[in-house]
Amino acid sequence: MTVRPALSIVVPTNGRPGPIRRLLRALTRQQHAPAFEVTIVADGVVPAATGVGDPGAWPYTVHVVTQPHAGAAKARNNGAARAASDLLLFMDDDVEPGPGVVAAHVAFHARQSRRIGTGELVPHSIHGGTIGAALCGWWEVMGDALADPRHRFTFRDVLTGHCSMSRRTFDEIDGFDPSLRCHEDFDFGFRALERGFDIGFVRDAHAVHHDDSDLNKIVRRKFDEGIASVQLIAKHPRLFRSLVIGRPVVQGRVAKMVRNAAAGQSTVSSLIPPGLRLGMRTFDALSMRDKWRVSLDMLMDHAFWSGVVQAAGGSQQVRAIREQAGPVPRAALVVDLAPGLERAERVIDESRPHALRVMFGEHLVGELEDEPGAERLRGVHLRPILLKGMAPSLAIAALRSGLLPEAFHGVAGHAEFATVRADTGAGQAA
Amino acid sequence: MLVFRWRGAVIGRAFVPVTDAGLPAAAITAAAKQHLMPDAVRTWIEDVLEFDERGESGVSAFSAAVAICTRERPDDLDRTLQSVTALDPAPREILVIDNAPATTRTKEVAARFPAVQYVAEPGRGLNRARNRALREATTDIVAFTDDDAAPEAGWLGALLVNFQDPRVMCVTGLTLPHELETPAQELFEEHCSFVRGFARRVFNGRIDNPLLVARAGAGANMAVRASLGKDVGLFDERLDAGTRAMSGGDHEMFTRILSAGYRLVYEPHAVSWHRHRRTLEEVEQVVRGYGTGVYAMWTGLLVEKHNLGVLRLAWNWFRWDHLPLLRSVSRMRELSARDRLRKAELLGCFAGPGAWLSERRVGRTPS
Repeated sequence: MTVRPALSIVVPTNGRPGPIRRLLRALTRQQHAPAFEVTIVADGVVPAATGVGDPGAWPYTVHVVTQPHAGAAKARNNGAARAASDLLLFMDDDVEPGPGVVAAHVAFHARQSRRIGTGELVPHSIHGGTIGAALCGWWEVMGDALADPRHRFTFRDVLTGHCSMSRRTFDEIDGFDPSLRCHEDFDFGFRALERGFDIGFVRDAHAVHHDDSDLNKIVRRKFDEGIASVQLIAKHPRLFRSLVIGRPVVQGRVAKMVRNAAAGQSTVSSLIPPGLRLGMRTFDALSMRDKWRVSLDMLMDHAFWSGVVQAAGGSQQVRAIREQAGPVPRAALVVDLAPGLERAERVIDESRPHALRVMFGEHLVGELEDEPGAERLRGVHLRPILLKGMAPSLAIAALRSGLLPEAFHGVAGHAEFATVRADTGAGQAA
Repeated sequence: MLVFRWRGAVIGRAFVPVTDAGLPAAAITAAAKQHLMPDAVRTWIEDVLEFDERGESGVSAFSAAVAICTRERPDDLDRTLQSVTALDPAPREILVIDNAPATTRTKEVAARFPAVQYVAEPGRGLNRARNRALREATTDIVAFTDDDAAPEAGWLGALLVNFQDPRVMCVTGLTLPHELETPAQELFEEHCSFVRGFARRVFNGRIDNPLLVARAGAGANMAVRASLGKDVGLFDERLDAGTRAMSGGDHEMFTRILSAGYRLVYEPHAVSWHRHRRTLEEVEQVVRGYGTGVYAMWTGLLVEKHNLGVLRLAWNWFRWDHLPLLRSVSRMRELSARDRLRKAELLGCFAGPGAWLSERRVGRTPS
């Protein structure tokens, strides 16, 4: 009698036998795991190139499915369609799951089915060096945020390299969109949140991400992200202000010049990447990490905007995209801190608003605008919002309400607080 | 010096003139209003919001040893041991590493404290003593305090809580002056203070420049994982007190920790009180040692790691600190006390490369 697996693991691959064998070996070391199966989807490669070998030789069920090259999104959809379990776990082939991954994902969904579980990806750069360290740093910052129980999840937080959901959830969200060049995870996450699904962090699902990205690969990826951003905006206009295309990351005169050069696609534009790469090598040799970082950001920016221009069909079209009106913001919930934080948190939990207007009695503390692509607010989000986004105005409100101890009154004159005084002047007048 | 606290946490300080009559409360409040920075209010807000970025505050499953590396300073050691034996939570082990002892005085002081384990390390050098402590300890974490410092009762717990993040390899604490009884001590505190601010700061080797570790704290008040030697390497025995380099052993280790991709946390809740040297001559000697140690460390990075970044740091230091001093000297102005310190530092810098090269020549082992 065949036991129905409790979990189906879907792994798209385009012919990396070494990483696939590492992943399959790691799955032989699962602890306290119920029965599971693994489906390797060979995207444009023959089964022999996947590294699976004899599927029957593994101590769990392994399927190898082939498809003409169509990308990871299509491969995941194919793998999900063939899964025998009601619970799906997607993993990239360069991920090495820890021994508790299967049990952790199964336990996560046993408590609540209408949510997507994102597992941990501990970064490991294969190439190392400064670029490897920066890449790992980027992954770590993101991983730290996801692991924070007070994190407000967004459409960016479905990590298709390591995430799980019920088959029903997957079907209701309509799977991954194979038409996207990349960012199919962003698209999936946005549709999930818009349809009322939650995203959560699977705390005990530890996995290592063996990232083989070098600078060339990262630049190519940024170019693809530029193309995908245009595709995403066409598909979800509400996302406009939440994407880099609506909010350029790198500011400043030189950065703006680099971006414009990318948009212009002139001879100058073609000289910028080699110039920036030369600068990066020099700064790296001199351990000028900050300058190196700025050069990297500009190189990424150049690649990204080149992709945007290509996808949009020219710089005029890019301008038109960028000048479009943002979405109409959804109404903010007004919460008053004066009756107590716990009460304010309960009010937020009951309303699950998209935006907040925080008051302290009659004094305005701050406003959190509607952020398309972010989950509806929960009470647990309030304290980090107050601390990280509204601390000066909260202190001023406390000062005016007579709650700030006298010893702290001097900081009201500090530059950091000066703008706050102007912003909340109405409250003071009242 | 006034130290301001909010529910035990140090949130700021101010230097005010004090008479024998002391300071009235109103003057203290006025000083607080004048000197407390936004970080202090942030501490108040964190307290009101019951928000602690460290996670579950005060919870630590780690076993710890406290190591005191010392050499012929029995009076200071006695004061340090009184503080260390009063720590709450208490360490599982207390190690006194007697570095190249010339007398039995250190051993006699240690014997007065039953919980203390005395270890004689015949090889001279602070980093040798630190490495000996790492070898002797059987705990997860080894915390180091100087023999002229007095950690507060909560010092160890405040350090340990930061190791909940497995990427944290080292935690440093806030070191305040134990006394400011002489002009030399005031001068030292004013220009060479160990204080690195009152806000917790995480240095991430993946993001931050591993060479910029001056703001990360000092070895007088730090804790490391006992696995440090295996993961990053032991302390470089060619550096720090007891060698020609005179200092720099802690910062060289910080640089290596960050270069290996680990994190270093500056934790101002971990408070220790350090007794600065009392005479200007002693202070000059200490500051000269700092200059020598930094340049010795940089020489090592340049020669062995081919790290050209140290050239830029050396140039910046010279341009912004030492060049103005040379201008003062060239104008035959009488040197102020501060300039005397900078002069000592500059002379130390000149001696740094030679110190490192001679340590290498005599065959001291690197980490």
